[in-house]
Amino acid sequence: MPIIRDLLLIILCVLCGEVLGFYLKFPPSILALIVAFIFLLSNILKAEKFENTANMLLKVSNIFFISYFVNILSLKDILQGIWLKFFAVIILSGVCSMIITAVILNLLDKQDDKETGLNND
Amino acid sequence: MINYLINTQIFSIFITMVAIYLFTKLSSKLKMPLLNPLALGSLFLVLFISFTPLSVETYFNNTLILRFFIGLLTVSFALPLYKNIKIIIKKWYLFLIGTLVSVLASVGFTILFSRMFGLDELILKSILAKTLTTPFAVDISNYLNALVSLTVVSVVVSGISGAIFAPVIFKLFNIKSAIAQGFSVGSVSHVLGSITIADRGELQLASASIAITLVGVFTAFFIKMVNVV
Repeated sequence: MPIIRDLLLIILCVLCGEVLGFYLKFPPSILALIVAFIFLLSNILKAEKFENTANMLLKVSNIFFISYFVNILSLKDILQGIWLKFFAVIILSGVCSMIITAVILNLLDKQDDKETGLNND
Repeated sequence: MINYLINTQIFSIFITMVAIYLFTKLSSKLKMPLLNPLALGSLFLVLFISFTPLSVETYFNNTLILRFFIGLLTVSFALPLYKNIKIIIKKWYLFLIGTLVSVLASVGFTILFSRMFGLDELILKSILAKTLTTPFAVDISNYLNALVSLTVVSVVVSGISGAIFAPVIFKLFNIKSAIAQGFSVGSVSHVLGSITIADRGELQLASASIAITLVGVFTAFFIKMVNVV
């Protein structure tokens, strides 16, 4: 029974997300996440109540996406001749984004540690 | 008889689960980012479809029930956010700046390189959410009326490449901060990268989980508000 209760709570959040998404014209499942987070913060939802089901969903998540990956076969006409560019854009933009984020956060965190150290002195 | 069986819904679900089970086992034994169960399992299924009477369209329709769970999966990401709330409150400005930088850099570089390489708008829309974890990326891709299958491939490629390049980037740019390491990997390589940096420390892993959720939510808002494509 706990799995049904847990799924029910998750589906309830998704339903709220759908209602909000209809009015706000925004991806519903992201709104559902925000609803779940607010429910957790306000203790309407207890983390331990749906933790097991949520963790199980996360663990087996690959199963839910594999059909999209396989469906790439039906898109081979669109990608014909641009495969290399397609992969180059993904890898280059990802690496550049990672470098910028890491360097900026590293600098800020170092500065923060220095200031905290000074305050402690 | 075999032709009938192969085209049934239950067989498509069965073969999908077999593929994921086999390659998850393999990848957890060998622990290499290149051996991604989603990529390898898909390759196995592509080969299976190529050599049997099962068509891609039938397989895709038969597995609709599996895709229903993606919406439920996204809600599960509220948990790591909730569990790490103390770290978020303590270092809120770092996470806020990290999220803004990451969203702007990821969307900006994707647009820049797509234009440089001459990719069309539909492909650009399909890879715009590539640095996000798959449920977020699928949702945004659907919202943009893009090609979801391309989005999923781009998410996996981004995850694998980020997991491979992260140690090199940390060494080259002398990235010592645990938050910087975890957040930068989580924001680009999502769950895939987070698994590979888990052995570096707890703070790295927590920062990566925070990044996955925050960057996902902010990217969706950013794409909606700015109307980037």
